[in-house]
This record gives sequence, structure tokens and C-alpha cells, in this order.
Amino acid sequence: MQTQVRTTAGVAQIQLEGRFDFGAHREFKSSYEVPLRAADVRELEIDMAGVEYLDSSALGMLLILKERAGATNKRVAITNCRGAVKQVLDIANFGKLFPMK
Amino acid sequence: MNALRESIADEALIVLVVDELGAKSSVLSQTVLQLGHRVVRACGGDEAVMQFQACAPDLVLMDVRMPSTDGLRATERVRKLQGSRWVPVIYVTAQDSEGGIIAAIEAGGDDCLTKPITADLLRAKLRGAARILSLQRENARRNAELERYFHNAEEEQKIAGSLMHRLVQMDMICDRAVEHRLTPALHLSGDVIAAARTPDDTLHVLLADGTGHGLAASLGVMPVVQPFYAMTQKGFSLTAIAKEVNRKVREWLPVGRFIATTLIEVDPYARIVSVWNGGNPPAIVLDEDGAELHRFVSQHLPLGIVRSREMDLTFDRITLDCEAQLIACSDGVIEAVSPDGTQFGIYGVIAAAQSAQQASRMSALNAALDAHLAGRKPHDDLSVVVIDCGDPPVDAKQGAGDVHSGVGTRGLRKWRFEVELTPDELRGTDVVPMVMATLERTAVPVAHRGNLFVVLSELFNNALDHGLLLLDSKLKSGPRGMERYLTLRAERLESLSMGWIRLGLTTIDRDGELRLQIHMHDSGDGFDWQVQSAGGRQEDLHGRGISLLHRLCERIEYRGSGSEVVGIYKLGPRT
Repeated sequence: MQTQVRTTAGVAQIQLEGRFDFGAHREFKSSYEVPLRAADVRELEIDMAGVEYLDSSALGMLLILKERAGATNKRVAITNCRGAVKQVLDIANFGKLFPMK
Repeated sequence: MNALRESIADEALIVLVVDELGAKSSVLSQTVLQLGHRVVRACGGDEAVMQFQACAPDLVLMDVRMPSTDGLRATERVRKLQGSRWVPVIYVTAQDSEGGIIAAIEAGGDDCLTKPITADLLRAKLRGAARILSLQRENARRNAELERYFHNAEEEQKIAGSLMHRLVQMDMICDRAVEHRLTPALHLSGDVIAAARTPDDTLHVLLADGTGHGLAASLGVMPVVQPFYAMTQKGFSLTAIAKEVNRKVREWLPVGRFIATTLIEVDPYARIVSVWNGGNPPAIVLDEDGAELHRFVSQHLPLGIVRSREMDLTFDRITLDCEAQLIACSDGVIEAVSPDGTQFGIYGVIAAAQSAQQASRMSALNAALDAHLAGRKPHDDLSVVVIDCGDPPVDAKQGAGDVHSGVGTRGLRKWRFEVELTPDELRGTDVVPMVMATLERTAVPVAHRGNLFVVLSELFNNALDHGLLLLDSKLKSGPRGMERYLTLRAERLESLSMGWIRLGLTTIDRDGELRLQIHMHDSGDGFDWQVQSAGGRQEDLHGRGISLLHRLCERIEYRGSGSEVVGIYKLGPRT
């Protein structure tokens, strides 16, 4: 998986591309370390547009991010979910935890 | 490892120098020796092969005038003997003919040197060979280590697998209404299926799928199983069980680990199926002919994510008016891929189940799933459970019946127990299992516990439903009546702000017989018990409870306005 981070007006957009599974652990973690430390970032948006596959360990990574963001009063939202990715998030009812845009 | 190898320095090589015709190749041998290596000499092909086996050299120098048949054959034989260890064979020839070089390399030689050879050239060649050899040895060492590690891991997984199997009490699933399949992707399954009945015969089934698969996932589902069995056997509701399991999962597992869980409750008498699906594929209800009656989709977060008190414990519920089966599975089944890359899908599950008679749906599902996988191992754990839910037992409640008169009452003392419950306790506790837990500490014989559970449940539910929540039993009639009744019950309990239920238990020791007096009193207005207990309603479903009470208790007495009832239960002769 590849990641790209763009921060505008206090919102860090993290674009993911490829397979979001256990193998993406390191890449995903390093993508949010900087925005999490930045005082002016209020929200992290995980952009799923380029994600072709997502498994339960990816859901776990999202939970870890949410926990860590919560500790510094930052919000985490998920954007651009479609197809199989949306299905996995829907079955796990992650809409109850993350705003979906 | 032979003695020669142990006696030399790490960087020194054992070089087998083969002379073709017993010629004195002392110049070559001397040079090799001077370069700090060990030399083993052989005369001709046969001796070369023999020495190769005896000394396990690192490198072979074939000192030949021309690559002859003998030398080439020796090279071929050496190649066959070397096994997985690569031993370079270098030809040292007097002539430099292209055909000879090609023949030597084709026979398995690695290089050719043409005489005269200087010490410098030989040193460079041997150093090059030594470099490759040391890489190769390092590689071989790592391979061996990996292999050892792999075997150890395999072995440990097998042991852990059988241990885990016992720990999660997989063998306990022997319920008449439940069939299941569980295929782990590795030795250990991160999926678990459990089934048990409460003392009043309500069936509880759990299908849980921990994050990932293998050891970590398998360990993750462990906190789920133990409370499930223990609490079901004590008669706790699935709501209470879900809360406790969630608490355990949060306590045991790190953030980011969770357990997709489906909890299923089947009341075989009222034919009500209640399901809480948090993160699993839909559970499907099919009637006898295979028509889909309902789909319990995931409406909740998996267990282990939010705090127990923040959980949404709304159960999706249906009442059946015919025989039916519920089929639930983990996402490994839905995502099982065939060799051509198609997923089995929920439609695969439904189609397979519909293709068979009700009694053989599990085997049809098994066969379809196996055919779909076509012999390949699944990439995730597979679990499927098929539950008969529209088929009430002919007999009355299991565990509720005459207790064998031989049951002793040894150790049972005279005691009295009283408790008053107000709205908060009524909302937050499973009262009957709680009281049962107390009874278990008072030496009430095990054989009576099933009966007492039923008696206490009936009396308590009557007090709560009719006395405090003012629910009318008539609501239960008609299609979906029971669902309406239970929904209303949940709503009223949630908003209940006043009232109480007092429960008293007293042992009575009279005429050599021990009896338990159960006194249930609620703050409600009561009811016209003279009309109700005269019968009339006793034949229908709601009256079943009342007739059961009369059968299990020696006496049932309503008092006052009917908001107070006393049941006398016979425990047996004092011993």
C-alpha cells in the first residue's frame, strides 16, 4: 500500500492506495505520525478512494489510529468508500465510530 | 563434520587435488598448501570419488593434461554425491582447447585453468571460490535454521491447536438442534462456535471471529467462550452474556483487536429467534421449503471496541409459525475463493442450503464449500452453524420434571433469604440467575436446580411483566405478537421509575420433609387470581408457565389482591 498526506486548513488528508491489510501496517502508521503530532491538525481524513482491498486487521489499525487521535483531541473521518471497501466497513458498522464522508 | 574440518582455520579450504595418471602434481599441491589450505590427494577417478566421500572437500582441482573420460566421469559422480552442498570443480589442464573446456564444464566442472599456473592466479581463483563457498555456507546455515524453526513452529501450533480445541470446549457442542463446521486456515482457528442451553431450555449459540487467524486470533477468542458457557448454564440472558464477554475482550485484548460476534437465542416453545449480529455476515432463516424468511444483518460493532455500558444490545427478533432453520457463518465462508477467483458469497451459502432437504442442509453446505475450494486451503477460518429453530420438543421443558426421590438433602440447613429489587436493579441485573447463584451455595441439591430455575423465572416474570410493567398477556397472541410483547417489555423496563419486587426464600423443615417456600410480592395492583387460576388460559402458550408452576410446586397460593404469591417446592425427606 502507498500513502500520501496533504494538510490543508487543519485537515490532514491521508490518501491510501493498494491493499490495506496486515502488510500495510508500517506504511499506514508512518503516514499519520506527523499529522498526529502537528498541533494545528484537528482532523485526519482517511481517503479510501484508491483502496482495492481491506481486511479486519485494517479495521484494527483504524481503531488504533482513532484511539491515538482521541488522546490529542483530533477527529478521524473516513472518506470515499466504495464497493468491497464500503461493504467491509458496513458489516463491521464502523459508521458508528467514524464519520463517513 | 569430520576431524580434518575441525582442525583447520575457518578461512582455509580443504582442496581435493586429483592427478590423472598418478602423475606427481606436487607443484600444484605445494602451491595450495603454501596458500594456507589443506590438501587431500587422489589418483585417478575412483580414488577421487572415494576421497570426496571421505574428506568432504570444499573444492576439487582436477589436474589433468586434457579432460579425459576418466576425469569427466569422476566429475559427474562427484556432482551426484555432493547433495545440496555445492563443491566447485576446477580443471587444471596443460592444453587450452575450446572443445576440452566445454566438455569439462558440461560434465559439471565450474572453471578451467591452463598451465602454467602462477601462485598469484591460483590464490585469486581459490579466494573467489572461498567467497562463494562462505556465502553458500551462510545460506545453508540459515536454511537449516529456518527449517528447524519451521518444524518447531508447526509442532507447537499442533499442540496449541489441540489444547485450544479443548479449552474452548469445541466438543461440548452436542445439542440436538445444532450442526456446525469449523475449518481453520492454519492449525489454530480464530473462529469459534459454542452452543448451550439455559436451565429452562432456551438455546444459546455463539459464532465469533477474532481479528486475523492463527495463534493470536485463536487466543483472542478464548475470553469469549468461558463466560458464554458458564453464564448460559446459570440461566443468564444473552444481553448479560454479551456485556460480560465484551468486558473480558476489552480487558484481555489490545486496542485494534476485536471479535466479530453473532449471538443467537432460540426459545423453542415460543418459537422466537433473537439475534445480535456484530460484524458477521448475515444470518439467514430458511423455512422447510428453503424460502428465505428473514436475514439478520450486522447492526452492531464487533465485541471489544466500545465499553460494555455503551453497547447497543438491541436484538433483532422474529417469531416463527413453521419449522425453520437459521444459518450463520463467518466471513471466511463468504470470502472463500475458488481456483478461478470467485467468492463463495452469501448467495453460495443460500443456494447450497436450498439445494437440500432441511435435514441435510449442513452436509449440502459442506459439500458445496469443499467443491468451491477444490482442495485448496482456505485463506481464512471457515465456520458455519445450522440451527433448527421451529421445532419445539414434544415434552415439557428439559430439566423441569420430577426429581428422583433418592436425592438427599444432606447439609441443607434452615435459612431465609430476602431481597427487594427496585427499577435500577431490575434493569441492570439478571435477577433469577443471581438468586440461583445464591441457592447453589446453600446445598440445594443440583437435581432441583433446573426446576427451581423454572419456578423462579415464572414467578419473577409474572411479577415484573404484569405487576410492574403492566403488560397484557393478550398482546402475545397473533402473528408477531410475541415480538411486539418483548419490544414493549424492553421499552417499559427502560423507562420504569417506580415500584419494587420482593423475593423471599425460606426453607421449611416439617414432619421430616424439607421444603422451599418461594415468596414473590410486587408493588402492582395484582389480578383476579380466582378467575385466572381456575384454568381456561392454561392450554395456550402463555398459560404454559402457570400449568408448569402447578406441576412443579406442591402448592401455589395467591394472596390479597394477587400481587403476592407463595409457591411451596418439595426438596425431599430430611437426611
